[in-house]
Amino acid sequence: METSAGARSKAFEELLALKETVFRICLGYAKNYADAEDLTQDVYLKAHRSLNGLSNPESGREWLFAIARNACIDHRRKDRLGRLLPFLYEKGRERRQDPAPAVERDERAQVLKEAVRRLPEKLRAVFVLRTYGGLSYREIARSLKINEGTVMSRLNRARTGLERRMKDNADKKA
Amino acid sequence: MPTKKPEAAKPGPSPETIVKNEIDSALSAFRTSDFEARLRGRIRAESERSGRTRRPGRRPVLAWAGLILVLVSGVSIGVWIRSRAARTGTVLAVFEAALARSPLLRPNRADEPAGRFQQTASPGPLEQTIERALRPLFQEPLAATPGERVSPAPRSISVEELDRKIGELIKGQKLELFFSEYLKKEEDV
Repeated sequence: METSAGARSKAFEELLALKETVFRICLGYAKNYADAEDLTQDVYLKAHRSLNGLSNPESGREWLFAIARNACIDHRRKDRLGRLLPFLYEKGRERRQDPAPAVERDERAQVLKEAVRRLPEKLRAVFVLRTYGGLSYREIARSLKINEGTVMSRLNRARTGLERRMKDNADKKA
Repeated sequence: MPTKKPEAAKPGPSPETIVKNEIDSALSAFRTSDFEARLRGRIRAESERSGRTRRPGRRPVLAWAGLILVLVSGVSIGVWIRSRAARTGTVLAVFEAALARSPLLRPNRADEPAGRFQQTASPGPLEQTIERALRPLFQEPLAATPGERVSPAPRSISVEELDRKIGELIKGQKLELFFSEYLKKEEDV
């Protein structure tokens, strides 16, 4: 019993070493820095709760990234629902008053963020895991349960879409 | 005169460059020790709470859905009961009126001449049906036509006895048919 608890604790510590990667993935999905940090907390809480479900510790990385992606999608869904039915979530989580990083005041960064949010989920997942998370094609493929070739083609489509949106936006300004 | 070409928008930095800047900026603000301390606090609080009973308020969507479900079913049951009560009330009212007007079922009263109702009012289909059903109880002939006088019947039955006999009829469900026939007619109209 003690061994099991010890193994559990060790596995969690190993996962905790990936917190920066998880935070970066959450940053790709979230609207801002504060949301990304809250989401990262939620991801680790969920991982801690369902640590027993991790049958193969070697696939812990992909497992954690899958939890992160699902938590981000879930958060976005709740965010939309919260805007429609504010009385359900009016007590929502407390917002910390951290100073926003300078990049959040950068207009181009905000345009890109909005463009990423508007991508279809299949393309967004690949783009976020690769560009924000810095995952390899293989890790993305294993995490999303798709082929590496599909990862590459989706990434290419996502980049093209984002560049087009950013160009359209720049043209409008000009 | 040379025309000025519209200035093309300058190609900005690539998405990757913008993302890299964003990550660098965010990571510089990300304090790992604070993050871990907060996370461990939440895990501890959650494990302490896991032993307690789950409050419904922790899941607002489920709580609201449950509340709405209870309200909707409550209103539906209320409406159903009300409609049943109104329906039964109507039937009972008609039945009571028919009984009150029936010469067969009125208890024998010394100050009331027999056959008065046949002279003043014609029995409706429901009254006729009820009278036909109850006739064997009293062994009394009905007026063949409205207004015809019938011989005074030996209405020596007491009110209690009348109640008991009607109760038996209802209990035996013999009157159910008349209710349903009457309701069918009402609905047709």
